Amino acid sequence: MNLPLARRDNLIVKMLGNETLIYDRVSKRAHNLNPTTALIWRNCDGRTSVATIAADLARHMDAPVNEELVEYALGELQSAGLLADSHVYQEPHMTRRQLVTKLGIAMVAAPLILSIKAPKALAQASRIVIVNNYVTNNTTTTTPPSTTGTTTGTTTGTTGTTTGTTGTTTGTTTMDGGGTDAPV
Amino acid sequence: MDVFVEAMRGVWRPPDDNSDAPAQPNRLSVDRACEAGLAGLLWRRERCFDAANREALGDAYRIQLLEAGLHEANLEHLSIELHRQNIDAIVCKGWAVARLYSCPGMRPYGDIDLSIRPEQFPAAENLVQSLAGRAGPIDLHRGVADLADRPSDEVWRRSRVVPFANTSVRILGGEDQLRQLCLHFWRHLGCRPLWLVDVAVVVESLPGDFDWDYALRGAPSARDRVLCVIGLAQRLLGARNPFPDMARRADRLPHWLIPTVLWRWHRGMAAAPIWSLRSFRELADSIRFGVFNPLRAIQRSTWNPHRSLAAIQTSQVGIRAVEVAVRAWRALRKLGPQNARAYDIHEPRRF
Repeated sequence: MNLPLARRDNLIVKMLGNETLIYDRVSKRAHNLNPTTALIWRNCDGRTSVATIAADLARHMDAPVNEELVEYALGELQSAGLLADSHVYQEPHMTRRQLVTKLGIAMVAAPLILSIKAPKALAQASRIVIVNNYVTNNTTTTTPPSTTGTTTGTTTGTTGTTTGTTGTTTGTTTMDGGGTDAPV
Repeated sequence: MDVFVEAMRGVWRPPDDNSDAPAQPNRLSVDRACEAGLAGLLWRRERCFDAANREALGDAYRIQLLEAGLHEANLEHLSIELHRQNIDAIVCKGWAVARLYSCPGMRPYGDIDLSIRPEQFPAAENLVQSLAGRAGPIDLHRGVADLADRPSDEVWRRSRVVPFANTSVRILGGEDQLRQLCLHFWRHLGCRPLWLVDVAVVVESLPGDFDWDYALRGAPSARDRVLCVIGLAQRLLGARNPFPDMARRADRLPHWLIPTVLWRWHRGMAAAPIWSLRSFRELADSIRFGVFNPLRAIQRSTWNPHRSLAAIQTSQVGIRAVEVAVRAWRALRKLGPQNARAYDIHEPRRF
């Protein structure tokens, strides 16, 4: 039985409202997990099966959850380098929109990992490297380029509460409270 | 109202305090806000009514929040190593000030500024070298920057040890912290708006037993500069000084100070080449506030800031001429800056 295990080492994890922000000190990439993906990631403790994770997610979403959704998220988490177990999860072979259509869930509930877009002036000064074009959205999934030093420029993506589009981000981010340290 | 002043008034206060909130949408560009260190502050206080800017500033805040976490992890690692080697260091600016803000990540972090007792400096230097950048960029100061007129024993005696993560960190006493922030702002000619916000945050958090005599003790020129920067924070940013007498005393500003600082903020961190200036007014301001910057003149002298601007700037003519000549000579000899190291060592300035 596959028991997914999340990486905990060399990660900076911060909560901002219902977003989970993660900075990977090894790959120097910053990720933004929507609530669905964050919940799945936190349940990856090496002792919980995919079925149990799906059941827990169903309780939180108050709706039935297919294990395929969890597998999809695990594929994204592994691509982002946030899993530590040796099981190889299939890279997402469908877009979020296709997943939503197939499973009949709300777009907002579909797993999503974003790279955090930084304004140019901040990207040039920041020590956090923003990876260009590493984003999972409705139409494209690209593999991250190798990063050397600091990259400038911006990535595209969407927030978890909006319908996905390529190009500029849409929707709003609500603030429910200050950023807090997330239990890892 | 100036666009910076409009954006920055009371911006450090908790989100439920909207007493200084601007009545109209923020006009500061995203790039300028990031350069000034204000992006996170503006987004947290919802002072960005334009949807496109709000999204960009929100992501800037997310980056700052993660950088804060990274900085804190580095500081924890460094503190543990310093304790292990019995090196008594004071953390200045950065985290020591950011902890006073109402929300984490509001204030962007840069380097870790460490002040080291002179006798322990070689050991600290060896430690930082052995870390090889694993604790992030570190600025080592022999003694305490901008407080060279203070006996170091007094500074260390007044410093405070505060708990931090799984260790503890030593920070400056309140009086020394305020003085250092003010003098640091002036020494850098007020170039970064965020540093004035730091002063405002500290001023509003002053305890009832704050020792103003000690805070202002020392060279009269330094005292005047400290008061001027506090007055700037009060006048420009609406900082509420809990000591009415000192607030009145600090409110007496030289007439040239606010225009000089605002000019610097609008110019930004990078100097525009002189041929890009588009009007005689811009050229005149560039000469008046840039080439013959009165803050620089006061910094280099022991003059009272309330002297006439003409006298201050006249004194600059000869000094600037010599500086230009030296730079031209160095350029001809192709003398360039040293390669950046993982850390920098700064000698304290002496008044």
